[in-house]
Amino acid sequence: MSNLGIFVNRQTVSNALQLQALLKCRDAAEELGHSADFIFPSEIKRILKSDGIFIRHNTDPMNVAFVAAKMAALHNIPVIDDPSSIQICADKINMYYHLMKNNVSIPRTEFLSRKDITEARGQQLLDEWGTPLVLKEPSTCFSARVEKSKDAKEFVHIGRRFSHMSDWIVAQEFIRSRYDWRIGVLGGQLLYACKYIIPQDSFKIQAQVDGHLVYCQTESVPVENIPSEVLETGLKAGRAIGNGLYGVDLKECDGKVYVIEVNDNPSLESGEDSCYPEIYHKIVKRLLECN
Amino acid sequence: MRSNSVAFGGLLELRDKRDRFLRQDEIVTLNLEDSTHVVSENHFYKSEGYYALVRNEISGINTLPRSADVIDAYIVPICLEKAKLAGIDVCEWEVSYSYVMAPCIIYGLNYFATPGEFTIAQEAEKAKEIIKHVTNNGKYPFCYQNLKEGEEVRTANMVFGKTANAKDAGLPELAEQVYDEFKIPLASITYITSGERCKLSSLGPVRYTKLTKDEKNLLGGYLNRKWDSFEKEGS
Repeated sequence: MSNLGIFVNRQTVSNALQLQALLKCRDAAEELGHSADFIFPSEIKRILKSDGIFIRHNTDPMNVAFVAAKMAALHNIPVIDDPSSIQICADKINMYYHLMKNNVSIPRTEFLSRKDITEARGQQLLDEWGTPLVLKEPSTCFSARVEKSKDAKEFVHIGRRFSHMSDWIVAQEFIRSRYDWRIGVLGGQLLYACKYIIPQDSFKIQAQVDGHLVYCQTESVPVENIPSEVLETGLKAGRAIGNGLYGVDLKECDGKVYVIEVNDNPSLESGEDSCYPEIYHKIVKRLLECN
Repeated sequence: MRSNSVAFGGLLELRDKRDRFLRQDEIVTLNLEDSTHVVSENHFYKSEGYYALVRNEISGINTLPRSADVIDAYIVPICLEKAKLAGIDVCEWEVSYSYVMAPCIIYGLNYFATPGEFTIAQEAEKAKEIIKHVTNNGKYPFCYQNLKEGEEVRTANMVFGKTANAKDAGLPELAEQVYDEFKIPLASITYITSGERCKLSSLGPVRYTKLTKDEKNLLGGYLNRKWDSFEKEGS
């Protein structure tokens, strides 16, 4: 029998949906004959007593979840998400570099340093890629700090604001669609697939609409209904990042499939597993039974 | 691609006031056999210096420091755990949201924390105030290291693992060990000393303007001895 450490914070366990998902994960570990414990940041050294670590805490190299991932990796304890996946996925520049290097289909994308954030450069990109442009601060998560610019003035305004948080930012062609595909990838293989239906009046999976926070709807999609190009592109994107757990967001437009981003620590609590009840069993097996 | 290789001893050596040292935000790339060394006053996450490392790594260029090492170095618990596994003498650390035993040294551990920045809490009441600030009222965790009687917290600059005019006998060896592990050309090192023993507390970036004349000459002299040419990015 092995022990799974599930690294969480107060925010994770205070959300009913996330707590329910955590309990499913614990149940899966127990069904497979293992034990599971929740580990909070102030108990971080308990990681060293676990046989595998599953991080369910927002990840970024700048926060304590990364310390947890790194602690596990330094002591050769299997961990999802591993530090390399966090480092790449939490930074859109690094992530798109990996996708480009591996010839994964993405919208037209440029990385801009502070000196590139000028009206002339904005106008040039608008002329080449059309209106609007999408600007992203590299550490964006849950669609925060992803904004559309419709003209060169707005490009400079948004770009300068994002530049306070990063020396480089991302400019990207806007791909119109009513929903995002999400392909869940574990160890380079399909884990699940779903559609995130984008809220009306928004282009993001989570947005402020009329002062209210609105979320996308989730529609789990069985494997036989996933278009082959979506599946293949999603798997290719996951493999371009590493061998861990990823949620790949894709859009289909005019017969082409584009990867919008690859997320480490993907959401699993919003019905993504409806058609894939073995998600947590596969994760637990990968962490505790792969040696 | 090497755009402009010149002997650098003349440029880096300070001769008179008109001589310019490295400018703010300037990044210098040095090529040595199969490695490219990137010298920057800031390699931290999402800085120009950091992206210079990421870009090289993606292009398959063997680059030092590695972008992962820079993140490891500047996040205190990771820095200390990694250094400890490498046999370096380090401070014991803990993570908390609220409680510490004073006296102690406190580091922020969140998106807004400045690498290497610390506050010393000598007594419990003061610690509460500091913690309220670094945790944004308990929202984020922090890292702390207890201080024992007679221990002092000191900071120095390291240039390729060397220190100029080290105040403590144990510092030169500690700096060498830290450089061997993290390969960061320029860094500030915070350590706790009690007599001859120096324990690593944290690492942080160091601005060129914060280097003393001796440290600037150390940088120029050290590079001049090790390499015979350098490349200035973008020139």
